[in-house]
This record gives sequence, structure tokens and C-alpha cells, in this order.
Amino acid sequence: MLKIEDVTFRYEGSKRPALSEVSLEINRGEFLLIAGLSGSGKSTLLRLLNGLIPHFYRGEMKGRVLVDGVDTREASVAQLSRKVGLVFQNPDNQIVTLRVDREIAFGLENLGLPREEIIERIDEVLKKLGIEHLRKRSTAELSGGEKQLVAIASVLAMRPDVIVLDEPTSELDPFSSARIAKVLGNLNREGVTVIVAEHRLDLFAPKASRMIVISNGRIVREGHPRELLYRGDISLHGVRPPSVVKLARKYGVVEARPLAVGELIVALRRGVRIDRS
Amino acid sequence: MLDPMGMVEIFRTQVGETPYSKLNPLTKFILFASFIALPLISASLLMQIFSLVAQIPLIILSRSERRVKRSLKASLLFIVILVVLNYLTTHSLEFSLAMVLRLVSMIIASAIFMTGTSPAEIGDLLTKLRIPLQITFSFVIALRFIPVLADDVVMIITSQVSRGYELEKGSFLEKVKRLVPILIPMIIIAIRRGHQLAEALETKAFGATEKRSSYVVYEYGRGDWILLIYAAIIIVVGLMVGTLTPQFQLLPFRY
Ligand SMILES: Nc1ncnc2c1ncn2[C@@H]1O[C@H](COP(=O)(O)OP(=O)(O)OP(=O)(O)O)[C@@H](O)[C@H]1O
Ligand SMILES: [Mg+2]
Repeated sequence: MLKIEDVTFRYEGSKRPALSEVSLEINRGEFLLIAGLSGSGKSTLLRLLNGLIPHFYRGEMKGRVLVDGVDTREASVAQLSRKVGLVFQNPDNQIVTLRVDREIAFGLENLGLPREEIIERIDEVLKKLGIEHLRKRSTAELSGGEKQLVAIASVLAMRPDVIVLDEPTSELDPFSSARIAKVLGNLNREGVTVIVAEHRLDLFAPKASRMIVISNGRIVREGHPRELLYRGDISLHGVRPPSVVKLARKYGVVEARPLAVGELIVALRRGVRIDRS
Repeated sequence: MLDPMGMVEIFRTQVGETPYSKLNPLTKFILFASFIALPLISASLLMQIFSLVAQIPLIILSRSERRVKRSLKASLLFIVILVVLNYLTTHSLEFSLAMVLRLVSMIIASAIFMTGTSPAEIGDLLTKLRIPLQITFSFVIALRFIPVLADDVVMIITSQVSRGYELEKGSFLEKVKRLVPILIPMIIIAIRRGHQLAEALETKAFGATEKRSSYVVYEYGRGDWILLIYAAIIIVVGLMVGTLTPQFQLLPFRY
């Protein structure tokens, strides 16, 4: 449903392209995790998906991006936002109103939806994310994690087929980060396609159905996170496997390829049992 | 004796809902405008007393009796000084009293309006008054980003101070110069925030359709009608009071 075809993009004013000859296809229902060092081009890749590149960012773009078969050059960011919702890194810079329910309503008002439908959708997303209690709260009083949940809610309310998140947890504490990861896992199970660029592989790798690694503007690795993170050569591109992987190596349960702590414990138990018998 | 915090007590933001805060913002605005206009109808003392008394129902509805009382008590000395100064220049005690009461009455009117109306309501009010979306939206965005940018300033100052930077040292000119290392990061941060905000607005289809719909609607309840009629009566009575009493010259200086 999303197709990046041989895209090279260079920002205006910079010499080196931020992305080089990138091709990627994303299917309905996937949970795609994008890893890579700072400056490798993750944000640039995400900006391609809802048309911010080339509509908002100036530069030189080769190749094309198709959203449901439509070239992003031929559609506006507003039209694309109904299909691809983008959540940014810093929740403070994407919340534009003073109250939570108004924030969720904002995008829907811009689309000109009738009031009854707006109310219905606000109820729905608040419930889906488990933040009904925040409905009438002032956006200035929320914690970082709550702000990010509200930002996700306001994008989800526009009912995109795909939700794209750019380092949604980089400004959050570990507890809130885990909550965001859980929420995204649940959404994906309900059929929403999720694409997320993240450094916290420990939280997101267990939920992902596919993972790509970007380095210097190129996709250098692609596969299931279980496979990629146990391959060993991934740290060449600056991606550090989560500690579960290191522990699995240390205790010799690599065949089970655990990604979550729970899986590691199960693998270890099994290992112990085998030792006894 | 002089208690500046007590004097502005009346402007302290209201906590919780009051019968006044639940009114339609347009009603609140019309009441506010009426009570600003009322003391201006004439300069007579009677007029000023009337406009103060006429505000009592609003003070009660906005539950600000105690705040008004405290604030008046704290400002008493200030009021006396104003009356005396006025008397020294105009030689009319009645006129001096009238002018100070006019000031007090306008302050009470603005305080009731400002503390009983949320910023979001003021934004909606501007929209209702047919002010273009760009302007009302800028107003709301400004309010939204004030706390964010205030946090940024605190962060910049603490990080500069922790590097041994001294903000409070030297002459006035030096102090101004010392602001530069605070201002430059501030401007950069604000520009970056502005850029990301524009990106977020774009992805939320801001300005995409001509016919933007509205989630928040304000209804006119019985309270609104009663208070609108009250405002009309007050203005009519005020106009009558204005014609009844002998007019003062606004600035009766004697040469
Ligand atoms: N608006 C811009 N103008 C010019 N160059 C840019 C712009 N945004 C990013 N770049 C450059 O493009 C390259 C890729 O940046 P990008 O933001 O996509 O990386 P990233 O992987 O998202 O990094 P991070 O993890 O720090 O967010 C970098 O070299 C960066 O300097
Ligand atoms: Mg980035």
C-alpha cells in the first residue's frame, strides 16, 4: 500500500543526499521498525511517506513514492494525511490547542467533518488509548507521556490507514516509553499499519513484524527483528542490539532468539530443564 | 501597608466553574463591554456609584466577592492617594471621588471578565466576532506556547549559570549585554519549534478546506438571556442617570 521506488533526496543547501536509491514496500497490517544512527536519514524517509517531502521541504527528489497507487507529488499533504498520519518526536511542538478534546478535534475540524462525527471519533480514540480521563484536561498540564499519547490520539482520529511515528519516545521516561510501545502494539493488532523510527529497540523490536536498518541514507539491512538482531553484524551500522539479545548470548539460549524479557525467561527455564534431564 | 499582591488578588485566575464562567462567551463579552461603557456615560459621582452597584450581581455570580473585598482592602491606601492627588489638581472632592470610583469599577469589570473566561473561550469569541482564522489561531498558539517557551528560558538560564555564567553582575549596559547568550539560543529554539509546528499543522490538514467545521458550540441558556436583558436595562438606566444629573467638566482646570 506504500511504495518507495528508487528515491534519492537531497535537501536544498546540503551537498550530500539524505537518502540514496531507497526502495521499500510496506503492506497493510505490518509493524515496521526503522533503526539507524542519528543523521542516517530515518526522519527523511518518514517525511516521504505523507508528502512532507517534496511539498514542505525543498530539495531535489528522484524516484517516486506511491500511497495507495497515488504519486505523492500529485496529492497534497492534507489529502495524504487521511491515509498516512505522522506523529513527531517532540509532543510539545505538535500540540496546537489548549484542551485535550479540542486537540483531537483540530484535524477533524480542518477536514470539515460534521460535529457529531467529531464527537464520536474523540470518544473512540480516547477509549482506544485508555486516556478518557484526560478529555477535558488542559494540554499544558499533561506529562510528556500523556502529551505524546494525545498527539497519537489526534492523528488516529483522522483514521489513517498507516500511522507513522518519528522517535515517539525520545523525550519520554522509560515508563511512558513502554506505554507508547504497548499502545502501538495493540493498534497494530487491531489492524492499523504502524511504522516507527526508534532507538529503543528493547521496547519496539518484540512488537515489530519487520525491521530495516538505515545507514548513510541507504537501507543496509532488512528482515524480521529476530533474525537481524541475532546476526551479529548489525552493530557495524551503529545499531546496538537490546540487552535481552546480549543476555541470550551470554546464557547460551540464542536458538530461541528471545526479544522480550518474558521470552528470555521462558528460554532460560527451558534451558535449565534440559540441563537437569 | 502597601500590598501589591493583594491589590492584584482580584485578577487571580478562578479555580473551578462558577455560574458566570458557564455563560456563553459572547454574553460575558457584552456584559464586560456594558460595564466598561457605563461609567463613561457621565462623570457624575451618582453615575459611578450606580455602575459599581450594578456590578454586584456579577460579582456574586462569578463568586469573586472575597477576592474583590481583599483587593479593595489592599488598594485602600492607593485609592486614598489617588483621591488626594486628584483633589489637589481639581479642587473638587466629588469629582476626585467619581474619577477613582470609575477606575475601580472598570477594574472590577475587567477582572470578572478575564478570570471567568478561559483563553480558549476568548479565542472562540474572536472567531465569533468574525476575526479571520489566522489571527484567532495565532492568539491561541501564542497562549499555547507561552508555558513551553518559559520552560525553555529557564532551561537556558540554568544551563548557562551552571557553566559559571553570571547574569546579575555589572552595570546596566553590561547586564543587557549579558542577555545575549540567553537570547540567541532562545531565538534558535523558537525558530525550530515554529518549524516543527508548521510541519505538524501541515499533516493535520490545517487550511486545507474552506469550510472548516467547529467542534465547540456555545448555546444560549436562560442565564444568558437574563443577563443580556440585565445589561440592556443597566445601559438604559445609565443613560437616564447621565441626563438627570448636572454634568461635570472632564478636566475642570482653573487658570
Ligand atoms: N531540513 C533539513 N535541511 C537540510 N538538511 C537536513 C534537513 N533535515 C535533515 N537534514 C540532513 O539529512 C540527513 C538525514 O537526516 P535525518 O533527520 O533524516 O536523520 P535521522 O536518522 O532522522 O536522525 P535523528 O536520529 O537525529 O533524528 C542528515 O545529514 C541531516 O543533516
Ligand atoms: Mg530524526
